[in-house]
Amino acid sequence: MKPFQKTGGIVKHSASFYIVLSALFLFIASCTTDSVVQNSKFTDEYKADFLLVYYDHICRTAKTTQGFFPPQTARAYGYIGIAGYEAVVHGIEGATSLQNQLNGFSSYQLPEVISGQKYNWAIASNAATARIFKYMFEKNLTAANRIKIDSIETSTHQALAANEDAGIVSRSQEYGYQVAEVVYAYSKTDGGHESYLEPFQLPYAIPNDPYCWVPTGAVTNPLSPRWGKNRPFLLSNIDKVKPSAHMLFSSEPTSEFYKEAMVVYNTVKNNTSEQIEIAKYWADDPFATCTPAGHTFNILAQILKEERATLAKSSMAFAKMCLAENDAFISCWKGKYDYVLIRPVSYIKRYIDPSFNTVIGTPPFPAYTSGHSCEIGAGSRILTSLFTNGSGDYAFTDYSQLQYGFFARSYSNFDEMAEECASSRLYGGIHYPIDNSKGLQVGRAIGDNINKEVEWPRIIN
Amino acid sequence: MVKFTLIFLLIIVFFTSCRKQPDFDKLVTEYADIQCRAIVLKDKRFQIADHLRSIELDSIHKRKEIDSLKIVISEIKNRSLILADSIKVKLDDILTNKLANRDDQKKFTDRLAAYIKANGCSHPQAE
Repeated sequence: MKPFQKTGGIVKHSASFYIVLSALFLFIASCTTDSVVQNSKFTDEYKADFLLVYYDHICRTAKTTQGFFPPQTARAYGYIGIAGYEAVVHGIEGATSLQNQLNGFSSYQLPEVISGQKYNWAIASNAATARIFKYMFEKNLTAANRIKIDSIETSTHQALAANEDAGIVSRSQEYGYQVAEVVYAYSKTDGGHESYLEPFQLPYAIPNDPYCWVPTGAVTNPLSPRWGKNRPFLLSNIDKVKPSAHMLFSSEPTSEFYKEAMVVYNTVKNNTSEQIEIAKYWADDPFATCTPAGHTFNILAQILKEERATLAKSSMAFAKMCLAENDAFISCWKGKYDYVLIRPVSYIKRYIDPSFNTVIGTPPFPAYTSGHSCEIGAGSRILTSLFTNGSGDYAFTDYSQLQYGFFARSYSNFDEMAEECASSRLYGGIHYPIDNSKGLQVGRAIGDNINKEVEWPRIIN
Repeated sequence: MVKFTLIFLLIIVFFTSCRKQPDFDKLVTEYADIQCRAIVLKDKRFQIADHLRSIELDSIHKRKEIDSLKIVISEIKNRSLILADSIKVKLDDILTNKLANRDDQKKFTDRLAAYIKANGCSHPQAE
């Protein structure tokens, strides 16, 4: 059977050709599980300025809200990113909802877009982000932060709605709110709901063995000991990503463990001024910053702004980072409390030099593996996927710490940045080298899982 | 034709070279004070954290010291937050509106660091 016949210069197709063509069309259409809603503008036709304003304010809110330590902050970012992405996913060509891709999310029914109706995806994103943002900090959200969120939402909505049909405006806004409600319902069952009210998850007893963590400062309880039991967005980020056991604990000077502690001791004793600066730069001190995860989000937001990324790319970028950071903290915290390893400062004071002091404060939780290394490892892989061809090569200057009294630091590769962040914990004297190397390994694996196991659209801008 | 192309290229070169260069020195000196204030506050935060770590918890006297330090921490935290907000606004204006490209932005922060390292932050205005 010939698919088509050429007659007198005009191509005439046979009926079978049209059947095959129609089948092909249907096949292609069905391949895109979330087809773009007809007649609506695509998500990449909108700017992302307002989204960057929200992320700036998430950082400020994390800084000024009681109970938002690194795990709690990463979780808040996590669900905000999901809601923001789901609100616009139907406006992105070839994009697939996260609903059937994230652990446990399929039990929650996201709202459906109305066939044939137009949506303004920026209005939907604005509504979803504002609502989920308030929910994630809800009971401890200060009046000033709530007013600021409302103000961002109102001014953004007014600007976006100005030249838009009233029906589209209300439909899009309502859609965004509904997405936020569903994502919030999903968040309530992950084990971390309202964890900011009791971040230390008391009571909790650490075994009384020489290898075990002991308090290193004024805070005598370890932070969030049950965080590792929280539901991750990808199961594989817990099941397949586990740090192998650290070297056997020993106080013998010839042991590998002792030598590892000696590396910390000698590093701190011989730190250069540059290394001390690096230790403080990445410390993201809780007095005034929005935790390590917030720092990574600040870097992402800065690059998205510099790249003039569209709403489509920004929403996807934040969603990727949100999944990665949330799961990095769950996986890392699981390791911390599986191993409950003593901090270098405690070990060194006990077995090497009682007068030893670290460069920066040791946070109140076990050593193995390093939280900073996990989160930056995951974050660096997301940045690499978003802005490079896979090499990680990308010249940029991190301006986000100027506000905290640091000078800007420049990097030529995202891995280079991650390595520096991980090393900063050794310079600070608060982690063994193996905490950092294994933490980076775990984080990178999580970032890779997020990039590969979740179906993301191919967005260029 | 060659002559025309050459003239055209010269015009392009002329206009390109006419792009107004940012006045880095002015920008840096204007901005340096606020950055110095942030540096001083940052150093204070780390000093207090160090001091807090050095205090042991087993005496009532030191508990009182910790309580008084917490008040200082709260005050420094507030000042740091307010200053961080001001810096963000000012920096955003410089990086977005006054410096057109990444090279200029990097030049600015490099020169700022060099300026502050050379001149120090010994007399920053208290915010």
